[in-house]
Amino acid sequence: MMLMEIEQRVVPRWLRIWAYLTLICAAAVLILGALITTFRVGMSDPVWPTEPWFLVVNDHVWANEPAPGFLIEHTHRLVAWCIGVFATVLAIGAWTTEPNRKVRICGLVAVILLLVAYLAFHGEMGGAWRARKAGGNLRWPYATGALCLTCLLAAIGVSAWAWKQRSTGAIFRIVATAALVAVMIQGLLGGYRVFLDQLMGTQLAAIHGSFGQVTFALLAAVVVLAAAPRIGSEIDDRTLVKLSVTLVALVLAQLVWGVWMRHLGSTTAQRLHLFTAFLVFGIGTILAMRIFNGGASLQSLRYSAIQLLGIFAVQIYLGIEAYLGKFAVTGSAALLPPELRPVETTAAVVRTAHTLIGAALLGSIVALAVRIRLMMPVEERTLSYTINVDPSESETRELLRIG
Amino acid sequence: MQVSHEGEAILRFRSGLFAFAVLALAGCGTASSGYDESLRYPPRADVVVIRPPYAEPTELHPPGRRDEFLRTYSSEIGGKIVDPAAVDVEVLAVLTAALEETFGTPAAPKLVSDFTNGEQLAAGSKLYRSQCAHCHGLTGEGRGPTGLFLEPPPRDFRNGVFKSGAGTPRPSGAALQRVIRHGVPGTQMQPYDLLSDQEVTGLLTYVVHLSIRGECETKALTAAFDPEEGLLPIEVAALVQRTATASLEAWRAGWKQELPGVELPTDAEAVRRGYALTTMVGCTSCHGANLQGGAFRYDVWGNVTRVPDLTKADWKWGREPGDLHARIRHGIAAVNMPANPGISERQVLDLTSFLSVIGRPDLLPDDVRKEIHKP
Repeated sequence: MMLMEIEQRVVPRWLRIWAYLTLICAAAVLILGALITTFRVGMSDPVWPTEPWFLVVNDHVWANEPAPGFLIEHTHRLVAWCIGVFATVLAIGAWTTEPNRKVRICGLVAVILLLVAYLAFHGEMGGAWRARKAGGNLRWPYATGALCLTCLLAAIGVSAWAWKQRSTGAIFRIVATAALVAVMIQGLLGGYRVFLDQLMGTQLAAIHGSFGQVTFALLAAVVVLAAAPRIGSEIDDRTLVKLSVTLVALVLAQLVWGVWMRHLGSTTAQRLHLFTAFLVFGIGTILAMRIFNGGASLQSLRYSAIQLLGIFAVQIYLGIEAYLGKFAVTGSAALLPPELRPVETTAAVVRTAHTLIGAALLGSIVALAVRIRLMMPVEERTLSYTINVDPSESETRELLRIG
Repeated sequence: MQVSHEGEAILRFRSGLFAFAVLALAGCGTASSGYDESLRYPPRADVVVIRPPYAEPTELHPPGRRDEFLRTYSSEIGGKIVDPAAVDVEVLAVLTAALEETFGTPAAPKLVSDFTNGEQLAAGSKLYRSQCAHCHGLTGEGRGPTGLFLEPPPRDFRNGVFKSGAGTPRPSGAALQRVIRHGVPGTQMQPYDLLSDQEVTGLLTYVVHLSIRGECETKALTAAFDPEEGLLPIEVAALVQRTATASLEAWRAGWKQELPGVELPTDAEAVRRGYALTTMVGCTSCHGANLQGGAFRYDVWGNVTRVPDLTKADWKWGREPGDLHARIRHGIAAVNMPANPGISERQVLDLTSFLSVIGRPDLLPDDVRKEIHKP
C-alpha cells in the first residue's frame, strides 16, 4: 500500500491522463499533416504565422466557401497550436513533480521563459511577414531568436542539473521538456516550410515531416514514463536492450526515408525505404520471439510484442498498397512523375493510414524500448536513483521503475 | 595502443551514430533537380471546352470533380466540347510527335525563337517542377494534384488566355512577372518574392513555352474534331508550326508593353460620377446593384467562377490606378467581362476614381457609402 502511494506521488494521475491526451492530439496532427502531404496542399494558405483561431473568427473564409485544402491546412495549424498548449502544460506539470525545490523552481522558470521567448519570436515573425507583404525587405527577428536560444540553453542546463540530482522521475521531466522543445521546433519548421516555400519549401516540408515523427516518439516516451511504475521481475538480457534500441533507430530511419520519398520522390529513398522495411521486420520479429521465449520475467512485455507484430502486419499491407498505388500505376497517370499523379480517395486513405501506422510503430517501439530499459537492474541502467522519500522505505527503491 | 573498455564503447557508439547519419543522408537525394530525360509531355486527356452551356451556372463545381462536369457540356444544353479520346488515333500520334519535335520534353524544353534559349527554359522547367507543377500541372493544364482541389482553379495556360493581359492578345512580361512576384490576392497563387530575377525570367519563359505548346495542341484537337474543318495526319505538323509562329508573334507583340500612368481626379464628385457610371456601363448587371457580386458565370475554360465582390477591393490583377483603368477599358476576356472602347477617357477615369476608393468606406462620399456599404 505504501509502495502504491509512493508510485502515485511520482507522476500525478492528471498528468498521466494529460500525457495520453497530448499523444492523441499529436496523432491527430500527424493525420492532418499526412493528408496535407498526400493532397499537396501545404501551401494552400501562403500566410504564416496566422492566429490559431483564424478559421473561427474570419467570417469571410466561410463566406467564400474555402477550398478543402485550405481547411485541412488550417485545421492542421489549429490542432498543432493545441498540441503546443498540451505539451506546455505537460512540461510545466512535469517540473512541478520535481522533489528538489530549487531545481523545481529553476525548471519552471526556464520552461516559462522559453515559452515567452518563443511567443515573442512568433509575434516578430508575423511582423516580418507583414513587412514582406508590404514590399519591404525581409527582416529576421535575430534578437528574439537569440533570446529563444538562450532560454533553450537555460532549459537544457536545468535539465542537466536535474539529471545530476538523480531525483525520482528526472527522466520523465527531461523527456517532457524535450517533447515541448520538439513541438516548438516542429511548429517553426512547419511555419518556415510556408514562409520560405519558394526557396526550400519541399525540403523544409520533408524535414518537418521527419521531425514530426521524432516529436511523436518523444511524446510516446513521455506517456510510458508517466505511467505508474510496474512492479515485477527484473530482466538481465542486454541483447534485448540492444535489439530494442536498434529497432528504434531503424524505424526512425525508415520513417525519414518514407518522408523523403513522399516529399521529394527521391529514388534512393525509395530503395532504402524498402530495404529497411525488411531489416525492421527481421529485427522486430527476433525481438518479439526473444520476449516470447523469455519466460516469466518477460511476461509483462508479451502484449507489447503481440501488438508490435500486429502493427507490422498492418503496416506491411498498407505499405504494399501505398507503393503500388503511387508507383505502379497504368493509364494516363503513368505518364506523369509520381508527385504529379492525381490522388484518388482510396489512395489518400491508404497513404495517410500508412503514415499514421508508421508513427504508431515508432511510438510502440519507443515505448517498448523504454519499458525494457526500465526493467533492467538498477546498476545496469545508465541512470540510477536515490529516492528522496522516507528512509524507512529504502526497500522500495529497487522496485521503483521510474526512469 | 590500449583502449579502455569504456573508450571502446564510446567509439562503437560514435561509429554507429556516424553510420546511421550516413545512411540517413543517403536517402535524402532530391528529385527537384529536374525531370527524368525519358519523361514526355503527356497528351491532353481533358476535354476542350469550345462553348459552355447557355444557362448560367448556379453553383461552383465540387472540388476535385471539375473535369467530370466539363464533360457534361453537351450540345443539348448549348455546350460544345472536344473530347481528345474521340479524335482519330493516327492524328493523335502525329500530333504527339510534332509537339515533341517543336517543344521538346520536360527535361529538355525547346522554343525555337530568339524569345528565349534552351538553357533558360531548362532552368525554368526545373523551378516549375518544384514550385508550380503541383498546382498548374506538368503541361500547364491547371490540373496538378493540388490544383484539382483549389477554388478558383489554377490557370490553365494551354488556351493562350490569361486574365492579367490588358488590351493585347497576351499579357506583357511585366504583368506576368508581377503575378509571380506578388501572387494573386484572393486566390492560392502565392507571391514568389524571394526568387532571383534570373529565376523569375526562367519561369516566365517556361510558362510561355507551355502556353504556346498547349495552344498548338488545343488548336489541332479542335481542328481534327471539327467535321467541317477536319485535319488529316499529314497536315498536323504544318498546323502546329503555323499556330506556334502566330502565338509567338502574339506574345511578342505585347511582351514589352507597359501600362500608361494615370492621373486620377481625387474629388468626391468624380467618385460620385464613377458610381453612377457603374449602372450605365453595365457593371451592375454582373456585379449586382450593390457591386457585391456573388453570381456565378462560366469562363473561357468552362469553369464556373464567382463574380467578385468589388466592395472588398481584392484586386487580383493590380490595385494601381493604371491597372484598374486597363481593366475597365479592356475588360477581362477570359471571364467575359466586356471591354469598354465606347466610353470617354473622362468616364473611365471617373470609374477608376470610384473603384480605387470602393474598399475604403471612410473615403467614399456619404451618399455613395450608404448605397454600397449598407449594414
